[in-house]
Amino acid sequence: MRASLVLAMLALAPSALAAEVGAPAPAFTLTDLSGRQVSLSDFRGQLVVLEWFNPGCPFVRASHTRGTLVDDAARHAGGGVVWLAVNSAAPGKQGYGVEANRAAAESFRMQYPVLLDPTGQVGRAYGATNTPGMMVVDREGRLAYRGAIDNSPDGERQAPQGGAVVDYVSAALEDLAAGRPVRTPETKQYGCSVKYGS
Amino acid sequence: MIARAATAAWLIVLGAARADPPPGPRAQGPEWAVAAEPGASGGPVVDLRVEARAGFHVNLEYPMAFSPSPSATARFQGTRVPLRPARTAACPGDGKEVCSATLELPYLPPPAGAARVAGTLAFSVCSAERCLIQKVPLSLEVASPAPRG
Repeated sequence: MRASLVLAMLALAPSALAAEVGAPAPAFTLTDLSGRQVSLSDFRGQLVVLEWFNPGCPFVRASHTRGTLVDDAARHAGGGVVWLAVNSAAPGKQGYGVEANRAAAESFRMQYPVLLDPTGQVGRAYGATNTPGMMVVDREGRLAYRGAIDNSPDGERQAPQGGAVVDYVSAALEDLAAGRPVRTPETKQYGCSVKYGS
Repeated sequence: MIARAATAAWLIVLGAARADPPPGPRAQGPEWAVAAEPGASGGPVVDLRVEARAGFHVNLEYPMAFSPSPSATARFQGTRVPLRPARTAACPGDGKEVCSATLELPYLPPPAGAARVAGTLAFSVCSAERCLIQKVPLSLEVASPAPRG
């Protein structure tokens, strides 16, 4: 009874039991589009960005073709930042499947792995509610940022709240690289809902 | 040669006939409909009504906005006018989601005569399964409001 209640809570509220910002980032091992297993522990001691991804989501498309995700990963790759996309769409849901993700990754010229999380366990553990939703893991393996890629919820950098575009992920990476606490550790994710299974 | 030229001319005519019609005050898709009407207040405002259909709701978290086109004779505050719903209506039988939102677009009319409000409305509708971002051209002729007082 208690176990089924917990499972129901997990299913209904992806962020209710998610890791707190500042707490250890949940460990995971997922499979990429070529079948290779990728674990968070492979990147111990490095800054890791996790980008919740769905090729069918128009906010993801906007961000990868006109918005902040066009070049964010490439800009930070030179600084030794590891960037991983995670797709938590369940079987039968929008954005599920290797081929759709492969086609989108090629179209968006993504030079980093797309990891498949069809059970949604990793997405729920991180509190991913939207695509694109962003997480940053610091060198000590703590969740240092959770939220939106930027403050322009159209995904196109055309509607920044407060007037100027703020790239929250870049700001967090810069803070961590400088040895500072992340000044904005959590923001509201925007975009499509993550297409978790029931 | 003449036959080829005539064929090409016909193709051009056919192409023109099949071109998208100029935008009007209404547009729709399977999941949404939009309509532009003179504002209910009678002032220099156009009401833009967004309706979600077929299990979709209006995505109120999306930054809805109107981007005027060069053919507009009315003037606007900036090249992108952010819009917030002035009135909303819940989806039937739901109560949580909004299926109709009316956005008030203020404009500065020309000194005399009618004004053309023309541009693109950006909005989003979502269902449990997917979201859409729409950028819909709209155009509406409005009479200049009578001076007050």
